[in-house]
Amino acid sequence: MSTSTVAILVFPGTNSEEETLAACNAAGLDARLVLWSDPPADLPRYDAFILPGGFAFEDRVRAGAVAAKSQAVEIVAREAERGKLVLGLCNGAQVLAEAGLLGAVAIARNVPARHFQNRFVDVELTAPPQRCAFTFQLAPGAKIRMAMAHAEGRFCGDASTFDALERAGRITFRYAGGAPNGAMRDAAGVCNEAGNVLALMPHPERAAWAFNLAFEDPSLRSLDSSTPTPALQIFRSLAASLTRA
Amino acid sequence: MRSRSSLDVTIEPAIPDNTAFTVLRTLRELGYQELQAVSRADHLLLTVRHAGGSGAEGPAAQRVAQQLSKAEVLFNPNKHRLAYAPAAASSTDGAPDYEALVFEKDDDAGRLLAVLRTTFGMGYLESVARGVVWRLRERDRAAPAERLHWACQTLLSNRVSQDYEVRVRPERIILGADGKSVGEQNDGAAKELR
Repeated sequence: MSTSTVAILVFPGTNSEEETLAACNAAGLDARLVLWSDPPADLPRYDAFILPGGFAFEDRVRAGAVAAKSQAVEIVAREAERGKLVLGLCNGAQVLAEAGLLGAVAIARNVPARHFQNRFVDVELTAPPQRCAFTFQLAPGAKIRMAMAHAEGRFCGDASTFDALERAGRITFRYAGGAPNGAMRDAAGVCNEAGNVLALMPHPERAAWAFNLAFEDPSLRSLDSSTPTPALQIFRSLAASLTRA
Repeated sequence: MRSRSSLDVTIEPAIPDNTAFTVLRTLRELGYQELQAVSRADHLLLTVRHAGGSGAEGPAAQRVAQQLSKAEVLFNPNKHRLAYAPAAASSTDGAPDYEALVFEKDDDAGRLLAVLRTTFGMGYLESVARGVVWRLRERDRAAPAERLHWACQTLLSNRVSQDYEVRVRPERIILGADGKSVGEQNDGAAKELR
């Protein structure tokens, strides 16, 4: 068991904190749920932060826009600058993008259809595993099934920005077979330059156990339903990175 | 000979707007203490094709607005108020009221246009562009343009995926529930949240 502690930030409208907590616990992490309204002075005590999925502040204005202006996220951004690990999952990824932690990268409404898409997707690790703290324990080129559930999940920006992201190995994950949401360069997950911040649109925590995927993949039905899937490696990588640090 | 005209349409909540209230609180927390009210409306800029000569005349602005309201694709008469203005119209009396129009850089409204043209008989529409209009009010006046710029750069617009324009608010005419125009839109206090 790692002695490092992970804060899972909960905003009004967050809805994936329990799954995220379960995945963290299964990876041996000491994770705690921290409300956006808890005393912000406590936040720097944590070694890593996860911003889970949901609809923080009901996605008002834009997904993640209002939460990104909160004092809690301001502190998380400051701690990320100092090298602490920050993982944003779906709505959490939107918050990180709105807070500027990815640079000139936005997460905008899906195209061509603007509607909410809810499906399982396969994403592929397209950067070296060592490039990002959250892929440290994955095999090169690993393909992982995750749950996609968003209407605003399209990574976008200038072509030159995405050229630079590709050169720097910052497009951590891509949708295998093409992005269903119109994301530039099929990006499903983008990390920052230092590799300590990852914004990932699909949900690994909703696909971390055999029972999550058994409907899609009949071969999993013979397994114990609580058998971990490769998606849990994201959280194990976080635990390993904290131990290594 | 064909000609074109533009129609500026807003569809705003006629019920309390939680998003506007959240923006009000957030902008105040970010330091805009003078801010008293925020209102928001979906915005459409329609290009209408008029066929002259042998063809039928294109519908007048009110007729377009009526058809749009009857389609009830974008507008629910129980929850929304629809207002319209020729695109070139602007406020005329006193100090100008400003509003911010925020829109996606790469929005494709082609499907919406196709639905309006084919399903709802608005074949005279040539294009549709959509966005969101924000209006901010201080105690006794509309927010000055520089405050709208600040609000857009701070919260209302994403510099990577969106663009915004601060402009003089056009005089729009509110379409009544019976499809008749009922008067000029005047930044109605009812929709503003305090």
